[in-house]
Amino acid sequence: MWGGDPGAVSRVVIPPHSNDHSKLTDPSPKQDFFTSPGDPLFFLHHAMLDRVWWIWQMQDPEMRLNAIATVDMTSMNDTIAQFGPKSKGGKVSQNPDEIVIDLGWTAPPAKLLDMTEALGGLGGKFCHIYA
Amino acid sequence: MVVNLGPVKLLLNLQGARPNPRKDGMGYNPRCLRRDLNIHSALGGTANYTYLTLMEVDINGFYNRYMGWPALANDSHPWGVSTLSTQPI
Repeated sequence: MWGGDPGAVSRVVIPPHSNDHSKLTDPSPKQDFFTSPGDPLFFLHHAMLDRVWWIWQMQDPEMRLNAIATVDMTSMNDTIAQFGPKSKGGKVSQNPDEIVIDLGWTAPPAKLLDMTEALGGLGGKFCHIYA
Repeated sequence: MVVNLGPVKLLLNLQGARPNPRKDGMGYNPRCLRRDLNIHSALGGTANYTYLTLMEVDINGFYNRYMGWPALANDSHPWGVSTLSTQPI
């Protein structure tokens, strides 16, 4: 479905989960944002992404452990607000201190800044490292 | 393999795509799992992309490379979610 020359791909395909959900109406083939966890590989993929993030953090833990991206998340938030289980049309804060991760019925809400440390995050509940 | 939930928001009107019986996508809707393996979407999973991501100095650069924004470069996160469970119809 992502066939064609790379130039065409880079012009047309907006990656799912990327920030630019405003372009979701583009006539490009994409997956269903909400059913992608139906594939078991989804979890391996995200575990690996978490590992990559951790490796990046560990190159300079003092500066990077609590570093939160400040790029604009408006479009992503619009999608979450529209389809997310809890937000019901509400806007999500752009302030890292106020951002709460809420995955609906899968887990209780948690503050973003409590979830940045693999070792000791979430009040000590996170206790893992990556090899 | 069979997936049961969704689709919630299919972005392409695919032949054979069957809408979920419930509006919230939580109804039982068994159908074959689909993946989309091809050279373009797989680019984001190659070692050099991961390396480039890890070489980013600040969090915004890292995040953008990671999530594919400015997009459209088949970056690490999107390559996977685009490959897996693509249009699970």
